[in-house]
Amino acid sequence: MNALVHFRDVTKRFGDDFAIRDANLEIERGKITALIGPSGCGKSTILRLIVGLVTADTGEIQFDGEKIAAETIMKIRRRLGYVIQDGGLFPHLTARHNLTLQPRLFRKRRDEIEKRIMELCELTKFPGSGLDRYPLELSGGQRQRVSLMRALMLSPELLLLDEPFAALDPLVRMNLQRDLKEICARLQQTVLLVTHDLAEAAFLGNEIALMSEGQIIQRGSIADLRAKPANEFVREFVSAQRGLVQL
Amino acid sequence: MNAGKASWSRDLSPGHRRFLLAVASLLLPATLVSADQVIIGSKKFTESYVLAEIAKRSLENAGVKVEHRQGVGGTIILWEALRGGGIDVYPEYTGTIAEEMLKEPGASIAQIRNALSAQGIAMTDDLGFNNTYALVMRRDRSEQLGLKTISDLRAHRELKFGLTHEFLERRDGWRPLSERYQVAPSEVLGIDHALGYSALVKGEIDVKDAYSTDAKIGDYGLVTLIDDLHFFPQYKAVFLYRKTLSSQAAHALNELSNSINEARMIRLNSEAERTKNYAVAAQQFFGTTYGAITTPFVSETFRNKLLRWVTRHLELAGISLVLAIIVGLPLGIVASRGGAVGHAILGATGVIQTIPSLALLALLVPLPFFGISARTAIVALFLYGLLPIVRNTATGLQDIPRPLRESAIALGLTAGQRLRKIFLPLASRSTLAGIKTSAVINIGTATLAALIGAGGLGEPIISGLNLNDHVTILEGAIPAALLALLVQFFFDLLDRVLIPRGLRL
Repeated sequence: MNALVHFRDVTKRFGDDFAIRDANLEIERGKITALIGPSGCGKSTILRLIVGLVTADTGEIQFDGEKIAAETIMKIRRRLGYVIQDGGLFPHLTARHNLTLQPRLFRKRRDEIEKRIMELCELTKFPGSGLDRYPLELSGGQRQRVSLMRALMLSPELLLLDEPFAALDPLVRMNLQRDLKEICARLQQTVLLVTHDLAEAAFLGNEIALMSEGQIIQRGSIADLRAKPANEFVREFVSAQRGLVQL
Repeated sequence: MNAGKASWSRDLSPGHRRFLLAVASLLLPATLVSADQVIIGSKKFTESYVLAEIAKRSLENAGVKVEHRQGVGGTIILWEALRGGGIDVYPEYTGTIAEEMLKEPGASIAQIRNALSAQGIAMTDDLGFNNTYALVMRRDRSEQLGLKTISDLRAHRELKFGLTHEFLERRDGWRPLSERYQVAPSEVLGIDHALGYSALVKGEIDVKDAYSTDAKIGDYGLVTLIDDLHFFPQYKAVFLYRKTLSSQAAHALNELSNSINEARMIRLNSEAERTKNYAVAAQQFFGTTYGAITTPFVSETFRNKLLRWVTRHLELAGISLVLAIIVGLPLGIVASRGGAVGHAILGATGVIQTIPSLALLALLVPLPFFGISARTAIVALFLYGLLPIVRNTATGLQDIPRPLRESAIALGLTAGQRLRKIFLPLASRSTLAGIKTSAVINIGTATLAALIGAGGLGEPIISGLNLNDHVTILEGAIPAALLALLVQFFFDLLDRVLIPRGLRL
């Protein structure tokens, strides 16, 4: 029972459409779990359920043994870091201010906050000179680094990444993927990464969960998915994402 | 109103309460007058101004403290203000009292007195002249067509009539007159009284309604058509006053009966329009009646007048804007959440906006607590100022992209923290644009406050309209336009301070 997050028979519907249908999922501590699947398969909804942006219709989600519900969600959110595609940085605040917003509201000491920012700058390779810039004055890659720093400020137990590199150009994306892998390894960070890119999932994920139509179809390593596809969909999904090397 | 204020002031911090007190104290000078001061009102035309000035001087000579609120409005507004206690005295005409106020056409003087008395109002004997309605034409035009009486108009359907809005609607006005005389002109326009005179002189209209003592009749050499069927009732000038007036003041007013005949009134009106100063005309009356002038009249310099107008104008627009912000921001926040309540708020503020400003003022004046005062003008301006602020705040908040909204939630911020630290700053550009719109509209609309005697830059504009004097109109219109530009400029500067730099990149 080492898993940090448990989904038990979770269903979420938007109107008549199932976003998640009877999903069961465990996110293990210290690992990067990559959630992959075609767009609209419900993978982002899994993250949004954990953050409490949407609530499950049926079933139960537990975070560290505690049920995610209206009464518990505010406390649980402080133990999560959440990064979205375009960073979600607040444009009216400088990079530094984006970082200090949450710890200041949770009454962390000023010198501790400053120390943490310096640590994270080094970890994420973000230049300290960029801290006093506004998000619009930063490049896309730098914005994602700040966004990652913001998510890591309070040393969250779970880092949730929702297509964090999808909007970046390939070279920047590659650098960030490499740096992220290194950071997570150093921090032994538990991560749930949502992506539609199998190469990214294979590169970053210790474990891959493939989703389709609101359900987890197969879990395992990229090798497992290749060698023993659970069904025709898995086979097609894996082969459709063949890289340039194989062309 | 007071009960409502008490219930929400309980939830306020001392700081907020101090602020509200400061706002309230700004309102006070406009609303409180010392108990023994007599307030005289006048309608917005020369003769009414002059008669009110005469009453003022007469009361002052009797040792009574007096204030004259010039050009407060039309019959209904003054009558309601008199009954409500907003004013104590104003000049009126017996015909108007019987027809319009008591709805008893043809009532005798004794009947009028009784009916007024039942409402707490007393009336002086007539002042000595009959200012009835009349139809007037340019002399050359009437001679060319050979017109002498109103009956003669029947044969000339091609004549263009330009009549005041009040005359068009009055029970002793156009409609019954046209029926009685069987006159059916092809074209009847509604036009302001003073503007109508210039239209008549220029030949844009052929016939207009007038008061028989209008200075313009003499000035322009106009011809009064004879009322051969004796349609127009008697319009003897009197003063109406509240019975609560001190005997000393009532005595001073009654002293004025039978002291002015028609010729004299036309001269006084002419003098007022020539000098553009009603007090000077009143002074002439006392100069020839009593000989000695007790308090020499000192004309207010233009600089002082301008300062007074601008100060009052800013007071009206400023206080109403502050109130609109205090109320509009929270309403905008609630409205941004949509739902039935949100729609109701946007709907209600939108409906207010569709009421013509003059109509809104007229609706507020008869209500208790309001009356003819700066307070009424401020409330009307406040109501007009709400929509842009509410709508822009709501739109600004609704336009915040979902990822930013959700990022704020995911960071674990409470609803209050999200609103203060994230959402309101992100919506600041839109909110400030709404406040700016309100401010500029308020500066413009505040000119109408003068119609209910609340002063401001509308005062010279309305006087100018009555005197048909463009210079006087511009004395108000130019500063009002400059003020609007200045306000715009001020808020543009404020944008630089209040909109976070990150949003201005």
